[in-house]
Amino acid sequence: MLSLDEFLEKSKDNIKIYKNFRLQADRDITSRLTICIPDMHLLERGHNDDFLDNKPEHEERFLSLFDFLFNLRREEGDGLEVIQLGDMFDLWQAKGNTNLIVEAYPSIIGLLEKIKTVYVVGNHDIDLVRWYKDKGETFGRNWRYYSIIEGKLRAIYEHGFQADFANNQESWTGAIGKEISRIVGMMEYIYPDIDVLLGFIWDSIVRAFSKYNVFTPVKDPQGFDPHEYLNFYINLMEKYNNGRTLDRYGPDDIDLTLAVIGHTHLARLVKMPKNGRIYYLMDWGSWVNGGHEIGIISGKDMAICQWDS
Amino acid sequence: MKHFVIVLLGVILLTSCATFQERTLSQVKEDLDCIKYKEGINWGQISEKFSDPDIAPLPEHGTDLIRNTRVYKDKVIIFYTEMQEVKEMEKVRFYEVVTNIEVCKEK
Repeated sequence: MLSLDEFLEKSKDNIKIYKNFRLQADRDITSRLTICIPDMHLLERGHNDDFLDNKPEHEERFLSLFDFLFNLRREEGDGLEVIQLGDMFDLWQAKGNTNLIVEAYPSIIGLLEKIKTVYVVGNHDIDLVRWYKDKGETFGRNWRYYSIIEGKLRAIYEHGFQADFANNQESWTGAIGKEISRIVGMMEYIYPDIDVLLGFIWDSIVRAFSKYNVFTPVKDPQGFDPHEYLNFYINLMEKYNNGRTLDRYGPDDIDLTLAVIGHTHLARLVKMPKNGRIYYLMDWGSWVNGGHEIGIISGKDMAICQWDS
Repeated sequence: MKHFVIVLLGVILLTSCATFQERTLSQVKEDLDCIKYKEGINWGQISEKFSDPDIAPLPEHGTDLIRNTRVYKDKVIIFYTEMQEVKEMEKVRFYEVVTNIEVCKEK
């Protein structure tokens, strides 16, 4: 397995660690070099296509990353794993489902397939799983994915909407969030950056209410919250580690220490001790809206980087 | 305010309707009668299914009277596409290519 430093060395000047987001865990997390691609929001190259953002160099940058990963895959074989962490397609705004997006980006989708990318669904492409739920067809999409070391789950990969009140697609609040996103998508034809602007405003409101909500006690009197989903994911990992889960894994199969998510479009790497052990939350940010982040995990090492070329 | 709420509800309804249009090919073909193109297919099969063509053009100048074309207006065409891997300056790239065509009439 290629180490994180070896990977960075191979990437030469194309990559840099983002905001010193690099940590070493207290135990191995992956047995393979794991590269994670966050939210892409591919559309049909129109004005509301956040992936392209009317800048051809954005597509070139992604292709240069995948040219590099394609060559690395040939060298490393199964020692390299690539995970796309959801919202690869933005089906909330798509004109023709995935069909016309594939037409718009054949090389990007072809290269993702070629290097055997693992796909996790996000709230914007969860319908890929929903449409054919009864027939068991998921188009290779996973609800979540795990890294396993010596037979034990060590890392959980999920899009992150599951922790988001306004985007949890299993609740009525998520349905409202979806409709609002569609309306914002239409507004992008008039003002392309309206989604970014409204996103910042929404984040400010949520942040203010999470600290000063009169209906709940003040959770964080210091006024610093390293990640709004931190408690959700640490509680989830603790629950799994204690065997309180309905899925096929028993307590002997689980030793979760890291949760990896996207969804917020805001990269962060957080560690938090709880009940005698250390948990990590890695938010791999976004490939769109100015971000071009990727996450890298190798053994105990993890980092969030930006691909620049 | 009242007008704003009506417009907002209208937009939500319209955007919701967009999802109802999702249909698979077999669902689309329920309303169609199709014939799949393959090289060498007998013309009789086509004319039997679609009846007389709307236009039977003369051959182009300098070509052959036995090489003809027939034009149908208002037929539905279904293109089947797949990804094809190509090399461009030593890099792997993909194009969508047409692998099959079906011509259909509405039932």
